[in-house]
Amino acid sequence: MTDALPPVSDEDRPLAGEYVLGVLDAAERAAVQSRIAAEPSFARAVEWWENRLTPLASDIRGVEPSAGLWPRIANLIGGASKPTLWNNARVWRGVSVGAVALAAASVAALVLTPRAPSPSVIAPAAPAPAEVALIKDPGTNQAALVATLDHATDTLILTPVAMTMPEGREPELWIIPEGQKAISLGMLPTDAPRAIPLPKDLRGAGAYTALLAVTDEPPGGAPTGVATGSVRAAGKFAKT
Amino acid sequence: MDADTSRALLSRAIARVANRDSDALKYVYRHTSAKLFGVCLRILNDREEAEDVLQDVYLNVWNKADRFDPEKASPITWLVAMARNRSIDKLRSRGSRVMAGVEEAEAVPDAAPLASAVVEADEDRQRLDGCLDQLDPKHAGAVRTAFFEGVTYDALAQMIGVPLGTMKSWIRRSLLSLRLCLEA
Repeated sequence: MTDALPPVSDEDRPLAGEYVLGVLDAAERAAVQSRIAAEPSFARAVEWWENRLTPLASDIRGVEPSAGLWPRIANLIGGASKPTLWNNARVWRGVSVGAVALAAASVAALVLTPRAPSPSVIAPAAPAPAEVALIKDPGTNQAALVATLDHATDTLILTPVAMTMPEGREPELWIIPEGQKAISLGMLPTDAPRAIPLPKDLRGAGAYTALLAVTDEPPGGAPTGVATGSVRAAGKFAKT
Repeated sequence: MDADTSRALLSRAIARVANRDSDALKYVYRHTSAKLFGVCLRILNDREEAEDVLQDVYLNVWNKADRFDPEKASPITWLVAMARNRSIDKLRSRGSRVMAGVEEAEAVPDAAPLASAVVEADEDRQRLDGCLDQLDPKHAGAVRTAFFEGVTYDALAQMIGVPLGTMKSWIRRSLLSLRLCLEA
C-alpha cells in the first residue's frame, strides 16, 4: 500500500506547501519566514500554495468576535499616523530654504491627494532653486519617496512617503545615468529623510536626466555592489 | 451582492486602507471579521487568544495594506492566509496545550452564515476538491485535518494514529500530487 512508499527526498520536499498547510514546527516556520523575506522565488511558491489551499477555509463557519474588539482596534490605529517626515533637523540643516519649502509643498500635495498624485500638482510653476521628483512604486504607480534636487548644494534629499520593504530587506538607492550602469548611493531609512551629496560627475544636467531607483537588499546593502533585489520604486527629475 | 462585486469592493477598501483611511479598515473588518475569527478560533480553540490574534491581523492590515496585490490573490485569501499564519504561530508559541478539544472547536456555532459568501471563488475550491479526490482518502483526510487544525507533523501523526514518518510521507506525497494536479 502507499504507506510503504519510500520517503520523499529533501530535494523534492514541498516545503512551501508544508508551511502553508501548517504542519511545520516553530523553528521550521521561523526559517521559512526568513526565506520568504529573502527569496522572491520562494515567496512566490508560498503565495502559490496560499492561493490554492486557502479555499478550504470556506468550510469554516464564521463566528462573530466580541463587540468590544473593533473599538479596541479603532483606538489602536487612532494613535497611529504616518511616519513624521519633518522631525529630523540634522538632515535638513544646510539644505537651502527653497528646497525645503518645495519639498514641503510637494509632500503636502501628496498627502492631500494620495490616490492620484498628479505631477501637475507638484511641478514647480517656474524654474526654482530645487526640483522635485516622485519616485514611484512601479506596481501601484504611487509615490514611495519624494526626491529633491538642491542645485545650491548639489545635494539629493530623499523623503519617504510610503516606502515599505519585505521583511528582512532594506532599501538601497541607485542612480542610473543615461546609458550607464547603476551606481549605489547607499541605504535609505524608510521613516526619515536623508540627504545625499551627488557624485561629482553627476552634478548639473546629469542628475536631472538620470533614473533614481530603490531596490530591496539585504541589511547593509547589495553585497557585490550590483542590485540583487526587486525595484521597489523608480523615477527621474526630467519629465519624459 | 455577487462574489465578484464583494471581492472588488473588498479589494478597493484594502487599497484605501493603504492610505490610512480608517473607515475603509472598518469596512474590511465588518465584512471579514466573522470569517477570520472563525479561522483563528478553529486553530486556537480559545476566544481570548483568537481575539488577540484577530486584533493583530487587522493592525497588520492597517500597516501593510499596500502589500496586498489584487492581481496575485483574492482579498479574502490574503486575509484568511494571514489569519491562519498568525494563529498557527500563536499555537506554536504556547506549546503544550496543542491538543485541546477538537470536538469543541467543531461545535462552534454558525453565527454568521453569510460570511462565507465573500469567500474564495467557487472555481478554485472545486478545482482543489477535484484534486483532493484523486488522493488516497486517508491522505486527503490528513491534508484536511492538517489545514483545519494547524498542528505540527508530530501532533497530526498522534491525532490520526500513525507513525511520524508515515505522516510526513503522506503529506509530502499529497502535496506533490496536488501540485501536479493543480498546475495542470
